[in-house]
Parts: sequence; C-alpha cells; structure tokens
Amino acid sequence: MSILKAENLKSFYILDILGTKQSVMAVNGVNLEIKENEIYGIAGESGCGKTTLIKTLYGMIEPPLNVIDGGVFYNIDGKFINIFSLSEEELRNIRWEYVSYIPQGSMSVLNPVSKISDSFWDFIKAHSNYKDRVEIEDSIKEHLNAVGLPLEILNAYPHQLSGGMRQRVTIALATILKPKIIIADEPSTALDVVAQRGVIQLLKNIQQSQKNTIILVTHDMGVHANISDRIAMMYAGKIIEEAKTEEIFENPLHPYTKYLISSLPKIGDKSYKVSAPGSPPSLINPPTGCKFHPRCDNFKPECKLKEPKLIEVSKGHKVACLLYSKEMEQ
Amino acid sequence: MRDNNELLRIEGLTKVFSLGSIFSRVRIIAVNNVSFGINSPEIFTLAGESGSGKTTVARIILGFIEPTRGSIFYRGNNITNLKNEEARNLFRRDVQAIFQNPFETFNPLRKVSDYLYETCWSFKVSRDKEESNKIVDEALKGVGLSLEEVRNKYPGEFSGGQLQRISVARALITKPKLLIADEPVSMVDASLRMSIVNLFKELKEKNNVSVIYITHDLATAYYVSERIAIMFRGEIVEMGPVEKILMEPKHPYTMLLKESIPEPDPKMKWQESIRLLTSEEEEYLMKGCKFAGRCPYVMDICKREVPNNVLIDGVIVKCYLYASKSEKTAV
Repeated sequence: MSILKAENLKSFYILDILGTKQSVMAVNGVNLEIKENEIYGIAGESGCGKTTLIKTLYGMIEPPLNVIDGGVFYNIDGKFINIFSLSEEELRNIRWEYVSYIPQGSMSVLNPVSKISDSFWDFIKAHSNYKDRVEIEDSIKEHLNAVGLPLEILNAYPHQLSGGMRQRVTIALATILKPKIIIADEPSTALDVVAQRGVIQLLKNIQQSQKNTIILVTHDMGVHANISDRIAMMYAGKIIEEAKTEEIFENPLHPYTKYLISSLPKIGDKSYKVSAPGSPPSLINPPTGCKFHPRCDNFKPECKLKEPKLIEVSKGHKVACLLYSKEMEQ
Repeated sequence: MRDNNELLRIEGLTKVFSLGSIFSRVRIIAVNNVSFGINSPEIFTLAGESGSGKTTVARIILGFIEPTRGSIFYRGNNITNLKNEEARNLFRRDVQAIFQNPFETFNPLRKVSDYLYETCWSFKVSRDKEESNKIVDEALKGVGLSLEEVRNKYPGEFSGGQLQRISVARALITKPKLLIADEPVSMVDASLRMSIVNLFKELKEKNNVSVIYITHDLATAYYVSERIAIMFRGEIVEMGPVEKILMEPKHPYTMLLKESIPEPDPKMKWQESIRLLTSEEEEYLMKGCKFAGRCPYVMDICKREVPNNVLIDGVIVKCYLYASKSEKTAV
C-alpha cells in the first residue's frame, strides 16, 4: 500500500532580481508513489533538485520556494490528504509523529548549550501526550537501547560527541515517536566513512524494527546500493528513471543512469572509466525537450522537441527517454 | 635508499598545534613523524578520514605552515624553511597546488582567465601578451578546454567540473613536476568526477607529472594511483602499492576503513555491524597506538608504546601484530 503520493509536483524558486522575475525550476513535474515499509532512495547530482523535492514532500515551503502546481498526499489512516490544504497548526501536529525529517548537518540541529537529555525531553513534551516524568525518561532510555546508543550520551553536550554520534542522536530524536515516514536528506554525507557506516546501519535497523518508510536522499550510489529498496534518479528537476535497486545497478536504461553507474570506481577495478560529457544543465534555462539531450550519445532530433514522459517499460521499472517510448508505440 | 628518480622526500615531518590559553593548553599532534618519498612520475595517494592530518602534510609541503620538526627534500636539496627567495620561487614553479572547492578557489567577481594570465606573469613564463595567450591556450587544451571557451567568462558560468579543470590548467602553466591535489574531486559532481581523475592519469603518462592525491575516497585512489599511504590521527599506519594495501589490508584500521566503504553494488551489502567512537579527542591524546581503543586485536603493549614501522611483504605497517614477522625494521 502506498503511504505518500506526489502528483505533477512543481516547486520553483521565484527570484526577483532588479525587477526581472526568474524561476529556478528545481522540481518540475514529479510524480511518485512511495509504499509502506520501504526505503525509497532519491539519487542525483548536486543542483538536480533532490533536496527541494523532499522539502516539498515534507511541506517545508518558505519563500522564495513556491509550489506552482500539483500536490503531495499523505495516507493518514487510510485517507489521502493533500498537505497543502492543511493549516500550519495541522501540519505541525502531524510532524514528528507522522512524518519526521533528518537534515544533513547534525551540528545545527542540537542546541549547543543544552544536554542531549534536555533536547529529548523538550522534544517529547512538545509533540506527545506523555505527562509523567518517569514515563518520558523510560521511553527515552528504551528508544536509545533499541537503536544501540549508549545511555551516557544523555548527560553530554553536543560538542562532546563525535560527528557520527551526533548524527545518530539526531536520528534517534527523529524516530522516537515512531513516525510512519522518515525523510532523510544526505544523513551521512558530512561524515567520515566509518561514521557513515554507523549512521546508515542505524537507519536500516530502525526501519526494520519500526516497519516505517524512509525517503533517503543522497548522491552516494554506494549508500543507495546498501540500503535503498527502490531508487529514483533525478536530473534537472525531474525523475528520469525509477526501479528496484538491483535493477538500477544491473540494468540501467536511461543514458544518464548508464553513464553514472558505469563511471563508479570500485576497489579492485582499474579498468578505464569515462564520465558523462558536458555539464549539468541550468535550472533557470533548462534545455528544451529531454533535459539530458545536450550530453546524450543517442541524441535524435525529436529529443530536442519532445519531453519524454516517465513510463513503465517492465514491471516496476520506469524511465523517461524517447528511446524506450518509441519501442512501446511500435 | 635514495634513488635518482626520487622527486620529493619527506622525513620525520611533525606538526604540533597548541590550543587554548596559557592556563589550559592542549597540544594536538596533527602530524606525527611522517616520512615518504615521491618518484617521478607517479601518483601517490595520501588517504585518511577528516582529522587524520593529510591536509596539514600538504600545507607543510606547499610552505603555508612551518613544520615543528622534520625536513623536506626536493630533488635531494633540503627545502624546509626556504629563506632564499629565488630558490623558493623555483620550488613554487615546480610544485603546484589544486584545492578542494573550485567555487572557493576563484573570486566570483574576477574573470577566470585572469588567474591563468597572472600565473604566466608572476612566474615570468611569457614575455608578452601574445606569448601568454599561446601558453594559456595550450594549458587549457591540456585539460580539454580552450581559451575561446574561457575568455571573458566569470566563475559562475562554469560547472564545478569545468572550474576544477581550469584550476588544473592554471597549475600546468609553469610546467610543474609535481601537483599537490587536496580532495580535488570531492566537490565535483559524480558524473564529472572521473574526468578530473582521468586527467591526472593523462598528465602522468604524457607529461611526466607526479601527483600527490589527497583524498578520503579509496575507490578513486585505487583507480588512479600506484602507491598509497593510509593516515590515521597524524600517523601513516600503512604504506605501499595500492593493490596490496586495498585488496589485502594489514593494519586493523585499514581493514575497518575498507569495510566501511559502501560498495556501489547491491550484491555486496554490509553484513555485521561495527563499533563507533563516542568522542574524538581521546584518540589524539592516546599514548601508544592511536587505534588501540577500537582495535579488535588490541594487546597490552599497544596501549603503552607506539609501534614501530615494520616492512612486510613490500608494505610498511605500523602495528604490533606484525612485529615478529617483520623482514626488517624500516625507517
């Protein structure tokens, strides 16, 4: 069953520079459907709109970001509710209990002058109905045990913890109320490889025990290969390919995905790797038609004119490329 | 064991930073007794996590900071604390740097080509404007661009990958023998990353340029370099040919590091879980082996005394596990 849907979602940054309006088309017509109990990965280069997409999915819309079209629907108790029809207060009520957000920089999340236990304490008081002090303390300890964090951290200040531990505390905070959906934006990117592994494992353990949905954004394909169940590839504000993780790595269809997967260096492999030609497109003046056509090897005249739709070419494998839509027509 | 091919030799390099006031002074040994040599031409990787001291080593070689102890030899001449301006310029001409973030390397309000002309001018590579044009164009062609594409443009008009290639072109103007590249690809998009790494390979093969490639990314290190040194908390814990170190790591830290890399292959998912540190500071201040606190093979001696470098199977390892099996004690 699906838990979150986005339909024809468009959110643009509208900039007013000396009287001329410019739109940065960061999310430009995204359709997606995320299931219950899965880790849905969103991959793409910097500037492809993946962070804007999840901000929109979370309903964190602040100027200059504007939702131009489309909707985001959460499945709350069997009913799909458009989050843009909710008031600020209603949104606040579903946050953390129903959907939570793990940002990239953990240092800026935790209050530097209060102990970790106070952060947990504030958090629970603001978002749940617990009244009893002992009850709250027990639930904090139980949760830390469940996610495998030492209880001593409760008495520490954020600066006393290592970067990896801090990010794990943030994750513990975001999951203590057992939200149905966890949105994580590059949760392990600023960390060292060893700490990164700890964070990714923690996310996976939580997902397995709480059976909720994680929307994981990262540019690191190695992280996706390790924990994502399905992957959506983003390019210039659009999802250009979506499939099961194994399928994306073994049978990529879109020329961009092919380039990306084949250029990934691996230890033990010294064969020559080439990166995609050209540069990522501008989101202010994106190319016409298929956004990838200026960099594509299989470029045909129609690619410049027609914008390919995301279509299903085999079970669960969707791609937006004229190469495949033609085959479907014939 | 100094051979004629050796371009650069670092001997016993140490840098101590003092933090805090005079009342509560903490001494952080950022780089501790690091020695290695660079042959001509080769790509040598200095790998490690943040805080391992790899950038400090690069900054000392480039002369941005002075070492507390140790010497640097360039082609056999000691160039540590070079006071002679002429000798210093000669070294600067031969050794060029490429930095991590291409968006910070260039001033956004200055034309990109100005940087290239300025390098021509300050190293007196050219005599007049016409000759500079030729040299700049040649350098840009070497990285797959041309003066036509770059002329009169500002940094904002290029992608990170292009800007990083322009940084390399700038470094090539003086016809250097050695490039020191500090995390040159970590800010570049994944689809363009390999173009920078391939550029280093080409420069080595065609122009005999050596590269010190500083990175935390072991996969590109394996792809591009011949030898690798793994740094941990200021020390080189393992050094040798990249195939040996990354395929059959000997030091427990290198093993952990290799285990922690997420392989871009869904068939090779992580199995068991690993132990993480609570606090970072304590490892710097540890007496013996800095890794003893996390090492699964830890012995009593590890906590008391710093292990010696041992040479085993063509690899230098700083670990007591190999002390008895050593062929001979290395420097």
